[in-house]
Parts: sequence; structure tokens; C-alpha cells
Amino acid sequence: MPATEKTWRDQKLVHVVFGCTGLLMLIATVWMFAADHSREWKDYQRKMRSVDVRMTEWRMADEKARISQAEKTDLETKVLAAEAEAPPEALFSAFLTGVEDEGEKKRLNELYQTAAKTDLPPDVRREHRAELIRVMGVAVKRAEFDEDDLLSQRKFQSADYDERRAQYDLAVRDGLQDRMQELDKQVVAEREARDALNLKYEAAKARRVQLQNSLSAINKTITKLNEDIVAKDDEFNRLATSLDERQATYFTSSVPFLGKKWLELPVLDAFNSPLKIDNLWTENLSISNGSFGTVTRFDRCTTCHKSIDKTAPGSAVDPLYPHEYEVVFELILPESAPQSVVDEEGNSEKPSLLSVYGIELASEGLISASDVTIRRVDPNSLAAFARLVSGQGESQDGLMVGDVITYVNQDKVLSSDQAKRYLLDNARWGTTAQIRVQRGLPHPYSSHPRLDLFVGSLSPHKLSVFGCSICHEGQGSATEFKWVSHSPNSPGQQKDWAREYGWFNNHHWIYPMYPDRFSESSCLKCHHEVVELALTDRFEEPPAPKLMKGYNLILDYGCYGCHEINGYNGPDKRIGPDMRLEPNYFAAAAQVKSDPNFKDLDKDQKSWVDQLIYHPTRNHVRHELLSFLQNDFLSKEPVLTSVAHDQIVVLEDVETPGTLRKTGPSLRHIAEKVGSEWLYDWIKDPTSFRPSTKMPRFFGQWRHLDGQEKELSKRYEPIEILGLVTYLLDESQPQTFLSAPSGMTESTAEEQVSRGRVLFETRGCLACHQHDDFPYATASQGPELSNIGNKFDLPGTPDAERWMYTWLKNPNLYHPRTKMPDLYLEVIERPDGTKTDPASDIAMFLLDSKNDWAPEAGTADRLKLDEEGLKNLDGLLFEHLKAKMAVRDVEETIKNNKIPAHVMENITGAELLLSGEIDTNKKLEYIGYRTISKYGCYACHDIPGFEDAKPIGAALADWGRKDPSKLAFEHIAEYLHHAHGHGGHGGDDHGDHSHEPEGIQTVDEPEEGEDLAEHKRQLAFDVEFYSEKVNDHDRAGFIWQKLREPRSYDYAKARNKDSFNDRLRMPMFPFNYKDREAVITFVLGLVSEPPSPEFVFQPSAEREAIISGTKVLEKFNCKGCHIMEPEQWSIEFAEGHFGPQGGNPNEAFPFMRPNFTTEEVEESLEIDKQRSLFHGHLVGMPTIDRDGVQVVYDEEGDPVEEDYEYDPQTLLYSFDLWAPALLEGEAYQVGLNPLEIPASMITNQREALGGDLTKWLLPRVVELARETDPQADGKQAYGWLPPPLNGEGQKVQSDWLHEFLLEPYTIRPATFMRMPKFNMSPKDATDLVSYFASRDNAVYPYEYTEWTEQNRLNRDNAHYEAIVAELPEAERPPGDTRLEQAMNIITSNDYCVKCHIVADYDPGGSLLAKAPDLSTVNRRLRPNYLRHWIAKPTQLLPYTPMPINIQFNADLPHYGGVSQQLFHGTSIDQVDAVVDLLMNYSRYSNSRANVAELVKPADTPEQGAAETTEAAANDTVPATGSAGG
Amino acid sequence: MHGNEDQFLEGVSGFLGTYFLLLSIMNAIAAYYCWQRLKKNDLAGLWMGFAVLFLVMSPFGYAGVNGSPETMKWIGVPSVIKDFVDLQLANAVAYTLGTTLLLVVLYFGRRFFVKPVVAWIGLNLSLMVTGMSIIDMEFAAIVTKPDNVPIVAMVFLLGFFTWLAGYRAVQNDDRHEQGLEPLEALDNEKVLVWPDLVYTEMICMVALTAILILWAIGLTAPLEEPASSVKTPNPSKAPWYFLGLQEMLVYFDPWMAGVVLPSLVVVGLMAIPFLDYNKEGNGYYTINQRKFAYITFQLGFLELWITLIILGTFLRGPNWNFFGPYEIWDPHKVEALNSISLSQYFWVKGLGVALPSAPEGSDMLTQIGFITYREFPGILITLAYFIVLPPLMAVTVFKSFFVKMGFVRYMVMANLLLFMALLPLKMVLRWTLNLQYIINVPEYFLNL
Repeated sequence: MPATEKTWRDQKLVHVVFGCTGLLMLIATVWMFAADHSREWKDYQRKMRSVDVRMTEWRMADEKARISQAEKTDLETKVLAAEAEAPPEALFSAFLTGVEDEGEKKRLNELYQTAAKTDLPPDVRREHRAELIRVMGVAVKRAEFDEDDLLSQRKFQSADYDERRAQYDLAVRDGLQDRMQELDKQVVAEREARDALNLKYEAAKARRVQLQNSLSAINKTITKLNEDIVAKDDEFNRLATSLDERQATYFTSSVPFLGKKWLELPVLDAFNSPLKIDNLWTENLSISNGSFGTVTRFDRCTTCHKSIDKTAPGSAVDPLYPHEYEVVFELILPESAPQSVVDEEGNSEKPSLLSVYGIELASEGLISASDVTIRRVDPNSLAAFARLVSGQGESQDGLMVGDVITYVNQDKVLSSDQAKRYLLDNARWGTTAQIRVQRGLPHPYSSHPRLDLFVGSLSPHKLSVFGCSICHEGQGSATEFKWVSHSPNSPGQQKDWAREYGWFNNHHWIYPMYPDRFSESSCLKCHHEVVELALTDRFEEPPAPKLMKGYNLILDYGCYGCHEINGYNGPDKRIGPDMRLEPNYFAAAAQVKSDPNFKDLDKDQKSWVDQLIYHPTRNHVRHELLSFLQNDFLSKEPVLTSVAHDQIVVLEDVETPGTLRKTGPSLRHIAEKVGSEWLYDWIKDPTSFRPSTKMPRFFGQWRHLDGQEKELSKRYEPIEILGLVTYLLDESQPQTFLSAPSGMTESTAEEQVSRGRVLFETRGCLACHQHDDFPYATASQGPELSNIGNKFDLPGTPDAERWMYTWLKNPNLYHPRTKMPDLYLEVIERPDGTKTDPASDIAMFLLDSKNDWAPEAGTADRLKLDEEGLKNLDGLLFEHLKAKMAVRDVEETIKNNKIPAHVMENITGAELLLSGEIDTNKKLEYIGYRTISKYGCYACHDIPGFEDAKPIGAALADWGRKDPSKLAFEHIAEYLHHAHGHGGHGGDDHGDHSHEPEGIQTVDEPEEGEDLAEHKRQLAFDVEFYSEKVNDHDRAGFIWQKLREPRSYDYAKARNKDSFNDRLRMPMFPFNYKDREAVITFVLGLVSEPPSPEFVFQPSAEREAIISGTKVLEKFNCKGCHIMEPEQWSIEFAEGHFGPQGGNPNEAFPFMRPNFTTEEVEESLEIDKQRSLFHGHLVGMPTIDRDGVQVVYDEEGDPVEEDYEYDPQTLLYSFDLWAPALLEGEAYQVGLNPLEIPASMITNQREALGGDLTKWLLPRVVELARETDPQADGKQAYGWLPPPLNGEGQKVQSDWLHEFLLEPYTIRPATFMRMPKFNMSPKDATDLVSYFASRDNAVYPYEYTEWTEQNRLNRDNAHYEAIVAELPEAERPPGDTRLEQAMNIITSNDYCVKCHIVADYDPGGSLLAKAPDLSTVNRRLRPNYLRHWIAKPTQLLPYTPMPINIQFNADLPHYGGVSQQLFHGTSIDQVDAVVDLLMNYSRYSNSRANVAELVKPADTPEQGAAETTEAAANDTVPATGSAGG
Repeated sequence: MHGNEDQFLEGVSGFLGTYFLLLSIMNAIAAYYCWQRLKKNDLAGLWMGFAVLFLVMSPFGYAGVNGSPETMKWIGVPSVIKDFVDLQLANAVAYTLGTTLLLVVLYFGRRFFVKPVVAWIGLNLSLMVTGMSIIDMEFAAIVTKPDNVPIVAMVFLLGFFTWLAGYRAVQNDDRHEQGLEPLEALDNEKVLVWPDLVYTEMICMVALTAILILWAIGLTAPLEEPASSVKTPNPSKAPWYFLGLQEMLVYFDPWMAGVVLPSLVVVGLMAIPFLDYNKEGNGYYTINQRKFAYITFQLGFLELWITLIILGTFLRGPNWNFFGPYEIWDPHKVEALNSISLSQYFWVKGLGVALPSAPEGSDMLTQIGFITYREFPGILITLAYFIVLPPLMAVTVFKSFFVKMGFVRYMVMANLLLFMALLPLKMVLRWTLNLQYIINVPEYFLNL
């Protein structure tokens, strides 16, 4: 068919269709551009920019108002006055000497005469002076010109000279003799010309410099004044500059038109728009994307969070825009309604907020247009003086620019008009109004709250290096809210986010951001030792308090016993915190000792075992024992049995051994301690006997069980407990006991108990234990002992008195790895001749500590099985055995009470307990063994037979990344929703309470001082948040419920488990919701993903020493007794608040004067511009009075009374400095009058680190001391208690401290308690020593000092002797050498020996007054410390009773000091001589022990040697040191 | 879970309201068209009824936005039906037999189903059920997954084109009976390149580009799980167009399902022109004139390809278990998969002896001999299937084919057909006998 002109389709229609599709295309394209143009982050950037610009403008205005115009005017007046003043004659003539031209000189002289005329009006004089200065300037210019001219002439001449020289050199090369001569002459001529010019030039230069200097000297005053004027505007100028910078980004000119904004228009914004995505990245900071490699992290978070790193003006760490928070003020209203003001032109102006209160409101808010925002606050207005009622952090009095008014009294403020109405029209004049404001900005406009720690340029985690997502997680490269994987902190927030930003839970991003509450988790990525995150001097607030709490809970409750946290991947690669049990060497050794054939070993072999039990860190001993055991095992006739041989595996080396001890007591000798009844009751429910126990509950967790499942638990659990009791008691091994010394003074039981009570209180027990008799002591290191007597007061208990005595005397005998120290409870002999044994007294007291507790009724019956019980026993036995042998064999076993022979042949392990005829006891023992294995009791306790048992729980090293699909959530959501969702006290109206399920509940008691209603509210939030997490199958939800009701995951699951033993076994810990969250925070942080090493925290050697030391401090609770660091107070005060400290500076030894750098002094002189206050930092302790009570005064200046309630802001504290302080540039010394600090001055008060016991006992020991000495002064009581250890590193010698820690001895006889001996390894002691040395910047480990240098001593001696020799006979002090004469001071009855023991000399008198032995000081104290100590003891220890013996007074001959009859020289010489003597005491005494005389020529040499040893021994007789210990 | 569900409902609410509103408008337009153009008032009334129904449903769809998400459930699929579908119908047997049955019904009732009225009602109902189902979280989760949205659209497209073909074919068949030429022949005119071809193409191009842009803005590319060598996603799914093949993996060895059968599909498609001897039906739609070709194609394409893709996309969940459309994709769901091979049936169950196996250490030939011996029942059956069946078919049902095609063409066709039939056969064997493989040679990864 031929083609026609007719088209197939109706062209009109096709055109229409085409038109439509074209339109669609257009829409799609426009939409595309619009979508790109309106990306979320661009809005945030625009908004941030406008906020920034407006805030800066407002702050500029604010600053302008603040600049004191009066001061400025004053300065300007001074400038004017100075400008009218003719230059001083002397300066002017100095200038003239530099002027060469006579005419000019003359003219200058004339001008000067004119200017010097004083009778003219100031402005004329000013003109004259200006003219003079101008002409002087001309003279300077001329001199400059002359100088330049000469300089260029000299240059030319130099060039000519160089040319000639070169020509000469060429001539030499070419051998042109004639020319050489000629050129040589020329060279000389040129050089002379140059030198002449140079002289001229130098003269001109000198002249110019002189003129210039004179002129600037003349102008100096005016220049300085002008600089001051400019400085007043500093802050303003800074703001102006920053405003300029910000505006420059989008205003190219002053025309307020688009400018660079052109580039932000749609489509155009694709090309170099000022709005840009920010990328933060650092090489090597990578993120792993699944398992296919890692890529560099690109964080774009700052694209929206623009101000995250901005600091407030004038501060390096305060956020510029804090995250929004509420502040409440009280605004004083004028007495009466203000009247309209009529101005000059007769316009009446109504009173406005500005005229009345001094505030002006912005036309629209910063973030939301309707915010009622303050844009101006006049200084000295009512608003500026609004009183702060409540607010967080640094809030101060006075409204601020940028505050958003939300409420006036109870009325919500929605618009500026409303605010005006409330404050002007409807105001109740003469009263006050409460104003609520919102301060700061919301996300993403706010700045980081901890710029001192993160993001800030001075912080350890700089934004440019670390970015954001390495800590916060989330998808850093995303630029849209919902894709970033922000994590809501509460279900409410989640809903808001979902609505506002389309947030959703993106399961596919494996690193969702940590919700706010877990944000500390990520610290663990790099801070593997954890303790470094505790509060340090560097930061005002602790960096990670929640995480630290979690860490300490895990440590205290021994979670690591079952759930190992292995911080190593291979021997050297650290991947996270390391919390593992130490190798079980001591238990293995103890088990070897229990071998039936142990008695056949020889002495050496036995000693290895004994040593290893008490010193498991002695590797050489262990290796000896190990190789012996290995050989014995392989030998044909082994001495020992399998009991010992089984320990070979335990004793072997471990690659990177764990370091933590088991948290519970040893049960190896349990039968020596308690009876079965108590044990049964305790295992069943530890809280029944001791509500505060850390032991979790294993039995009775039935709330998730129903019907039959629960019946099964009820039937088998008692059998399990009984099995445990049987096994523990039957397998218990005998213990060594100590017996009380004989010859004690007879006393009644009551007397013993009452003595024991006092001893318990004052011997340091309270540093670790609580007891109801002493409610003030709240330590929880050891168990609470309030009703400990009940434990031993049950039928079947072994000899309690004997056990308790031995335990107190030497705890290691019962448990070699206990942290309880040996308290050295030695027999006390009193002056009246009575002798008592403190250990028995305390034992009696403790055994007497009882209340009405009794084991649960029927416990005694449960220990004997009835018929039902026997049936259940067989049932449980069946459950256990069927896992090990065929059901048929099990049935046969139970029927015949004997394991069939064919089965028995192949049996190993626990079933061996059942060999032979099986009786009930055997069954119970077997059940006990299997139950211990099942519940992992050995994770916390040392149990015989479980030396090599492995942890039973899931390892936690990377739990924070555990795939949630690998967590068995089972039916937990249903359980929470339907059955018992809100178990515990947080229960709301869910479910029927009359039908409360049986079984133990979670603990959710409010903490002390916590409001009950608030607690309930928080608990409900907690449940809501985590339930949501459980529903989402989130790890946090899993662990939350696991900690709350560990076995609830068995809900509706237990019924289908094949065996009773397959049920969950985790016990329930007494955690409240805060504890749980802390533990969760810690565990979620265990991700074992350390970033590349440069980002991991690598402490300096000093810091590392402090970290290791801190761990030891915590382990042995050193802080329980000792104040490690005194209190630190930050204060702010008005100019002149603290007067000079007093004391004559001439009366301080020159080397004792506090030493501050100029920077420190300048810093202390810096004044807070906003409030004109100085800042100070005080280190010390609150003053205590004679009774040992802290001194606090009320408003009237009277001491506060105990029961009266005071407004804490009105109190006045008294503060003793323990370290020199700088206040307003003035140095304050230690040991002078206390400072009086009103509470209102204190901005931050950091508690003393440690020393709780000291705090509690201060008044108590004063009371006790007064029993013997009514004059005892409480101000010295610190000296009677465990000494504060601030500055310890500088004080004592390292090797002495090391020895002392391992083997403490009595330094001073007087103290109430003495340093106990801790169960510490040499490594622990070393860690502590280096901790002190590093903390106090002491030289460590070896200190070389000139004080003990023999040559120097000889020199000084010779020098001294020469001086003394010149003295008249009568004035010579007795003694031959310098040291001997120094001994005069010591032995003078007025000085040292008045209190101090010196070698064999004892001063006698009151024990409290007796001071340490001086002959051993040389081993203990560092020389410099000793020197300072002798010079001025109170400056080192403000509480010491030691007086200043050798006075210093620069105004006196010999600077004062002690009598010249004792020692010749100044007081400095005397101090130094005493130091020399004490530091070289052994040398000194050696020199006086004449061994040679003792050697009789005919005698054998041995005797002489023996004598020498004895003499040497005398020097180091452990005795005493100086006051303060 | 309540919190989540409310949030979910609020999330879909705006979309759902608009969806029903659009359906209502669509039907209103149809009603207007029937009333004004076609002058069919009864039809107009019917469509108007639908329009009103959807209009009523629309506010319920919007309820979530207005803060009462629970009222949305009133227009959801009743839970009785959902439970019935999930618990009774949701298994491979019901699904496969159901779709087969549906195809059979559609085929025989084609005269009824191709009526535009019926089709329009069908479209309305399916859109309505889809909309009602979206109120179910699980259904929505699968259907609205950004990857799956286009597949849903393609299901409707496929339905439309299948209907269109059937509609034309039925008309042509009718005309044929009346002795008229097919409809396509009426348009047998030559058309102009411009504007009929190029202009149309350009319009298509513009429209397609616009749609792609809108699609890209509306459905952003989803972030999927990061690839990990230690953790495969569960379920692991191939791209949608391979999901039919992936479904075959349930029944066949990877070697068969992944290599042999797909190759044969390609080869078979290439062979069609050479096998087709039927001169009728060229260039126009017809069913009656090409019954064999039509049925074979629809069986192969719709039944063995498309429905398996739908099954794989929407109904296969974690662990490749079958999940009903309203069922939670719970990885803990377990389906017992106990299947044994034919050789085990024969030797162990039938004869009560152990499987023959070569003595240890015997050489390769002996081993192969023993394997052959062990698998001889399967081998026999397979050989019989491919060697005996074609001649048998040639003399019985396919007699006329054999005559017209000749030996070679017939044998190729018959074998291709038999290969195609393997899949349904294997499915039935698996369901009924728990038969794993007919020939099972794990030693050489050779299973059938």
C-alpha cells in the first residue's frame, strides 16, 4: 500500500500528549533542582550564620555599653593634658645633641621655648607642642635620609672595591706582575675610601637612633595612654572583626544586597556555593565496613553542627552556645509604676522595657521567629541584677543577651507584646517577678558541652584530629538527620524525631550513634586502663563518671570471674580493658599440700609449696615445684597422687596472665569457719543474713516460671543447695590456727567486748567495714559486720573464737589472697602493768555483734532429707548423670546405688566421686560438685577441686559489637509485655498486683538521699527506654533485662528444655537502675576495636606510673585511711578581699619562700571582665578546731550548731592551706593563719581524695586522747591518724617506701593505729612507689644528692673547723668536728631530744608527744625534704606539733638560730649541719665505733666480724622517724 | 510492639489516604467516561459505587496523620483472613497449585475474564486488597521496600499486558470463527517515520526520563547491610529477575538449577522459530489457533518463571522459609527439611540393605562402578524419561506433531518439553515423597 499523507495518530492529540510529558519533564527537573537546593544541612548552615551574625551584633552592642565611657574619657583627658605639656628639658636637650644643622637646632630651640610657655591656654600650648614634635620628626627624617644616603654610597664603594679585588685576583691567575702592582694600589685606595664612608655611615646611624629614641621617650606617656584607650575596646574590636569575617562570606560590599548570596541561588549553588559540606578526616583514622576492608573516616557532622567547637569569648573551654537549658531569675520590680518621659521636643515617651528594666527584645527570635529573645541588657539595670534562682553550671546573676523569656511568673510568654504586658502593664510594682528563660541554643546549633575534653583546640581530642564519629559512632559521612543514625535517648525523643526528621532505626548501619546515656562507652576504645578516666587535676569535671562507676561495679562484684574481659589479642596487642582472674597458682599449691602423700616430700619441696601459697608471684619457686611435679608424674613410682598431679596444668606459665583476685573469700577451709545451717541459709539467700552483701542470689528466681516448671525448681533447688553445703564442708581442708598469748590480765567478757569496740573503731577496721555501732562509717570495701556474731552463733559451728582470733591475727592463714591486711594486733602493755591482747578483744566484740537474725525457719530440717527429699535427690542425680551416660545405665545406677562396672571403666571427672557404693552423702557431694560447676561458684571463691576450672560466662571483650542475632532474646518481649513486664518496685498498673508472682525481685531501691517520687519517675523512664530496646533486639535491651532478671529469658522456654540443668544460671545482682546503666555503659564500650595506635591513649611514663599505682591504691583501699590529695577549692573574690597574709618575710628561710613563676603571678592577677572578680585556687583542708571538728561559722560569725538548718550560701568556712596559693598576685604560705572563705565565693569544691576514716575519726581520737592527756589538741589529730600522703613522693626515699610497704614497722610509737601489712606483691609495692614519685615529681628511682657526698662533707668540715679554730676558746662549741657540734643541737634538752628518740635514747613522757627516732631518718626521708622540715615543719604539714627550733630572722646576727655555744654559724648553717648529721647518721656513728680497738691481736678473726655486723645492725634497728610519719 | 505499630501506621497513613483518594478519582473518571462517552449508565453507576467506596476508605487511611492510627485498622484486612492466609495457604504446595489452578481457570474462563468490566473490577479489587493489606506491618515491610516497589508495579503491568493479549486474542478468535480477518489486519497500513515513529519515541523518551527522575527523588537508594564474609544476609536474595532460578535451587542441585536448566531455557527460546511449524497466528493475537504454543508459553513464563519470582521476592523469608504475606519474618521459624534420595528409597527402604559402596581404597573405575550400581534405579528412570518417553509420546498424544515435524525437530521439541516438565515433576515428588534427588552422586557433585 502506498504511503499516504495521513498520519497514524491524531496529531492534535499527540501534541497534547507531548505537551503534557514536556510539562512533566519540567516539573521533574525543577523538583530535582529544588530537592538539591533545599537539602537539610543548607538550612542549618543558613540559620547558624544568621544566629551568629545577630548574636555577635548584640554582643557588640552589649560590650559597647559595658565599656566604661568614664574611664575612657578620663584617659582621653589625660592624653590632652599630656599633649599640652612641653617635653622635659633633659629629654629635649638630649635630642638636640643629635641635631647637626645649626639652623635646625636654633629653630628647634625657639619652638621649644614657645612650647614651654606655661601661661598660654592649653589648646595653644598643644599646638605649639605639636609643631615642636612635628619639626623634631622632620629632624629624625633628615637623619634617616642622611643615613640612607651614606648607606647607598657605601654600597657603591664596596662594589667598586670588590671589582678591583676580583681584577687583582684575575691578574694573579694570569701572572701579570705589572698589572698586579697597579691593581694592588687601587685596591688599597678603594678600601680606604670604603672604610671612611663606613665610619660616616655609622655615625649617621647612631645619630638617627639617638634622635629616634629621644623622640619616643618624649612621646612615651602619650603613647601608653593611647594604647590603654585602645585596650578598653579590645573585646569590642574582637567581636567587630569576627562579625566582619562572617559577613564577608556573603556580603561583598557594604550594599546590603545579595553579594555572594548569588552563589547560593538554585542551580548556581552547584558551583562554589558558600554553603558547603564540611569534611573532617585524618589519615589512619579508619572505619571498618563489614569485613571487606577499612576506609578512612569522613565525618561531615560539622556540616550541620557548625558551632560545635566554638568557645565563649575570652575562654578556651566554655562553649559559645551552650546547649539550651532553663534558668530562673527573680527580677525586682520598681517600687511604683514608672511615668512617661517627656523629651526636649515635648514628645512623651511611654515607659518601655528598656527604660524600666534595661532590656530590649529582638523583633524575632534567633531560632524560631516567635521566641521572645533579649537583644540588649543594659549594665547596672534591673535586668542586669536579676537574682539567679536556679540554673545549671556556670549560671550567674543577671539576664543575658540571647536569653529567651518563656515564663513571667506562671504565665507563658508567647510574644514580645505579652512579655511587655506582663512586665509593664500588669506588673505588680514593688514586688518581684520570677522570670524563666531559655538560655543557649538547641541542636545542631549548640557547642560541645565539654570543650575542655573534646573538640576544643586545647582539648586532648581535637576536632581536626579525631572528628566526631570515632567517639559518637553513627554514619559520619551522612548529611541528613535520618541517615546519620542518630540514636534517641528516650522513647519520647524517638517519637519526636520520627515526626520531625523522619528518623528510623536503620538496622543496616552497624555503628549507630550511642544514645546520650551511653556516650561514655566509647572512651574504652582508647582508654584501656580505665582508671585514667577518673578525675584528674587537668579537668574540672570527671571525664566519664558513669563509665567509671560501671568499671568499679564490675570490679567489686567480680563479674570478670565468669565473664572474662580479655584485653589482649596476642601477648602484646592491646584491644581494650583487661579484666581477668589471676592465675590460680596459690590454689594449686594449696591443693598439692592437701595431697595425701604430701608428708613424704622433703623439706625443700614442702617449702616451695608453702611459699607459693603465700607468694604466688615467686616464679622461680613455681618453676621448681612445676618441674618437680612433672618429673614425679612421669616417674615410675610417683610420690604424689593425682590430687597434686592435676595441678601441673594450673601451675604452668600463662602468656599474659590476668591480674585480678577472686572477689569472694576462700572456701578451702570453710568447715573450720561456719556450720552447715548458716551455710545453707547463706547460699539460699545471702541478703537474709547480710542485706548489703555483694554476693548475688542464685536461688529463687522463679518469677518467669509457671506451674510445672516452677515446681521443678522448687524441688531441685534445695537439693542443689544441700549438695553445695555437703561438698564444701566435706572437701574443706584443715587450717593452721593461732592461739592467744598467755599471761594476759584477766578480764570479763564485757570488758573484752568494750575494749574490742574501741579497738575496732580506732584500729582502722572502719576503713573497710561497716558496723551498726558506728553509723558514721560507710566504707564498703569489706563486708558489713553488724551482725557477724549471728553467723557463728549457730549449732554445729566450729570453734568460732579460735577462728576469729586467727583470722584477725593473720588473715592469710585462712585465705592467702585476701585483701584484708595483717593489722599487727600485738599485745598491749599499759603503764599500769595490765596486758591485753587486742586480737582477742576484737574477736570478742565481733562475736558479740548480734541482732535478732536467725536462719530461715526449717533450715535445720532441710539439712536432713526426708523421703520426698531423697526422691528429689535421685531425680536431680538422674538429670546430671544422663548427660554423661546412657539413660539405661543411669536407671541402673540409681536402682543399685552403684555405677555399672562397664560404665565405671570409662569414667573420668566428677563421676569418680560416685565410685563404689553410692550413699546419700556421696550423691549430695556429687550434686554439689556439679552444681558448683554449673553456677561457676569458683569464679569468686577458691574451692578445692576447682583449681583449673574455666569461666562459665560469655566473654565480654567485644560484647559491644556482638551481633544481636546471636543473642537469645527468646520470648523476652512477650514476658515483659504480658507477664511481668514491670517487675520490681517500678511496677506501674500493668497486671494484677494481687497475683504477684512468686520468686525474688529485682532491687530498685532509691539510693540514699534520693527522692522516692523522683526515683519512681526515673525508674519508669528506664523501663520504658529499655523495653523499647528489647523490642528492637538491641544489645542494650538484652543486657538490661539480663541484669534485672537474669533468668527471665527462660520464660516459656524452660518447659521445652530437655534438662533442668539446661536452664539459665546467671544469678541476680543487687543492682539498682543506676548501677545497671553504669554496667551497661561499660559493657557496651567493650568493642575491641582499638583505632590505630596514634589515637590510643598512650600515657607518659609518669602518667603510666600513676595509672598503675591508682589500681593498687584501689585494690588495697589505701584511700580508706589516707588522704591522698587534700581538698581543692576554686574561689572568686573581689579586689582586696584577702589582705596580706601577715608574717614577716624576713623571718622565713630564703629556701622556704614560695616560688611562683611570673606567668602564674600574672594569671592570678587576671580579672574577670564581666564581674570584676579575681580567681583563686586553694589546696588544703578545712580547718579543724581543738575538738577535731571542722570550723564553720554562720552569718553572724558564730560556729554552726549541728541540728540547725542554715542556708548553705551564707556559711563561712575556715581553710588551712596545705600548698602555697596565689591570690591576687600575693603568695600565701602554708602553716600561717587559716583563710576565711564565705560559701558564696566558692565556685568549685573538689573533695579530698581518700581519707574518709581520718575524717570520721578526728573528733573521736581527740576524745580518746583526752582520756590520758586532757590538753590534747585536736588540731594535731591528723598526726595521730594515718598520715595524709600528699607530697609523699617528695618526702620519702623510694627504696625505703618499697620496703616499708612490704614490711611496715612502727615509725612513731604514738599513733592509734599502725600501718598494717598488706598482702601485696613486690610489683604492687613498686607500682605504689613509682606512683608517689611520679605524682609528686620526685626523682625516681635513684636520687643522687650532695647531702651524702663524703668529699663535700669533708670540705665543709674543714671549712667549718677553720672558722671555729679562729674563735676564742670560750666561744667554741664543744666537740671536734662539724657533725659532732651539730649533735649538740640534737642532744640539747631544749631541742630535738625533747621529743625524739635518738638511737638508744628515749625521751619518755606521753606517748602522743613522742616523736620518731632520728637515727633512722637517713634511710627514710629525702634530704631536701628534711632540710625544709627542720627549717619550718608547719609549712610542710600544717598540723604538726613540731616547733621551729632553729629560727631565721634576717635582722638578727647569725640570722637568729640556736645558741652559738651549740654550733657556730648562721641559722642556715645550723640547719644544714643538722641535715648533714641526720642524713649521714650511720657514717657518723660508724666513725665513733672503734672496731679496731675491740680486736685483740691474738683473737680469731670471726669475733671481729661479728662485732662489725652488730654495729652495722645497730644503725638500722627498726625504730622511729620524724613526726608525721 | 504497640508503640512501633502506631508509629508505623502514622508513617503509612498519609500515603494510604492519598492512595484510596486516587483510586476513587480513577473510578470517578471511569464512571464519567462510561456515562458521557459510552453512554452506559449502569456501568457508570458501578464505577461510581467503587469511587464512593474508596472515597469512604480514604479518611480512614488518613486517620494516622490525625492522631488515631488504630482506626486505620478498620479498613485493614481482617485478622481472620490474614491468619487463614498465613497459616493455611502460605506454603509452597498451596501456592504452586493455587497459581496453577488460577491459570487454568483464567484459561478456560477467558471469555469472561477478558471483558473490560470484569478486568476493571479485578483491577479495582486487587488494588483495594493491596491497599488494605498495607495496613499490615509485615506486608508493608515487604511491599514498600524500595527494592520491591518496582516489582509490585511490574506485577500490575504484567497483569495488564496478559489481559490485553487475551482480550485481543479472544476477539480475533471470534472473528476467525465468523470468517473475518483478525483485528491487526485492519491496521495493515504503512505509517510515516515522522511523526508516527520518531515523535512517539521522543514522547516516550521524555516521559520515561521524567518518571526516572521522579522515581529517583521519591525512592532513594536504600542502604543495605554491609557485605561481610562471615555473615551472609538472611535471607540472601539474588536480583529479582533471578529469583525464579533461585527458587529452583530448592528442588535442584545448584549445577542443574544454576547451569543446565537456564542454558536450556536460552537454547529452547532460540529453538522456537525452528520448531514452530504452525503457520497460523503470525502477526496477530490468537489462542485457539496456537493452543499448544500458547499453553506451553504461559506455563513456562507465567507459572515457572513469574510466579516463582513473586514467590522468591515476597514470600521467601529468612532461611528461605515460606512466609505468608502477613507473617513476621522471624528467623527462628523452622521448617523440617527431611528428604532422601531415590537410591535410599530403593536400597534402604525397599530392599532393607545398606547402600552399595566401593570397598575402601578401591580405584576410580571401581568406585564409579559402585556409584552407578548404587544409583541405577535413578539412572534407569532418567534414561527412560528422556529416551523412552519421546517415542511413546510420538505415537500417542503428540502423534500429529511427530508427523508434521519430522524426527529431529520432534525429538528436540520433546526433550525441551521434558526438561521443562522436570521442574513441576520434581516439585511434586518433593512434596509427596520427600524425594531429594533422583540421581544422587555427591562424590562428583552430580545430582538430579
